[in-house]
Amino acid sequence: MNRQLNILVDLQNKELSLRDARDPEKAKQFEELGFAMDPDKIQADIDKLLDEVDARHRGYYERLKQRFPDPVVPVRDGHCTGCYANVPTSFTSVTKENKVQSCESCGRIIFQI
Amino acid sequence: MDIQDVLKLASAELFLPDLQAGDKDGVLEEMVEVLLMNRKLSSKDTVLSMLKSRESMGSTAVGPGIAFPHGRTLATDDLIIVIARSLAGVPFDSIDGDPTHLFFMLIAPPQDSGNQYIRSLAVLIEKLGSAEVRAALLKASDFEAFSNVLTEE
Repeated sequence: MNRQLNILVDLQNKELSLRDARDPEKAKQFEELGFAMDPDKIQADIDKLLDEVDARHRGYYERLKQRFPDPVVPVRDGHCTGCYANVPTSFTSVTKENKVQSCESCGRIIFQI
Repeated sequence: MDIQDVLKLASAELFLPDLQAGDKDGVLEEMVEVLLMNRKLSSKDTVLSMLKSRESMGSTAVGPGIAFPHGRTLATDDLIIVIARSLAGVPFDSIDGDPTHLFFMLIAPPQDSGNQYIRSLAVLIEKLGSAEVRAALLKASDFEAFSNVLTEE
């Protein structure tokens, strides 16, 4: 996977962790099981990762984040899992060329899993 | 949710009876590799990065000889459990400092209905609280025997 895309996917995964860590009920459940989550540490990791995103992609990611809670989504069965629009078949071949791509319908950054 | 429900998320294909890895990163890689081999994932980097990030917040080796590497990722639609065992034991930054022998890896999707992810962790942790169960799991010959130990009353 393209390095920039990899970072963007990691960012979104960390946002998922942050969501759990900031959900009082889930955070409490994790803590009771012995898996305390530190939202400040996760946020610091997110900030550090953001610094690794090049300016063009970072600006786009941050604009998307204002519109969607999930600015980076996988493509499944030929559909963007953010808006469920069809993704052109050329997506897979372009992905192989290691480019960061976005959904033509909603604009989310998409990746193949 | 009970242990039977949790075991439905695991399978013989996702069971590693004798890990070869000798350190924490190696264990995570070996366990994620089995997901790749069974086409549950197409790329391991995203999941490995997520798991290592979770470990950096504190080791998931919270029980005697047991670890529960876990986290949410965009890379899966369904909760998946990979089970592995290291007969030799692996240093996993456990609370008691002892080597870890049993690993239950939970890879959770961004959203899971009914809080299946946390509930599965809770069921496993409760079941593995028994020293007798842990000792029997170390001797189980295959996934079926392993499952039988966990489901025995």
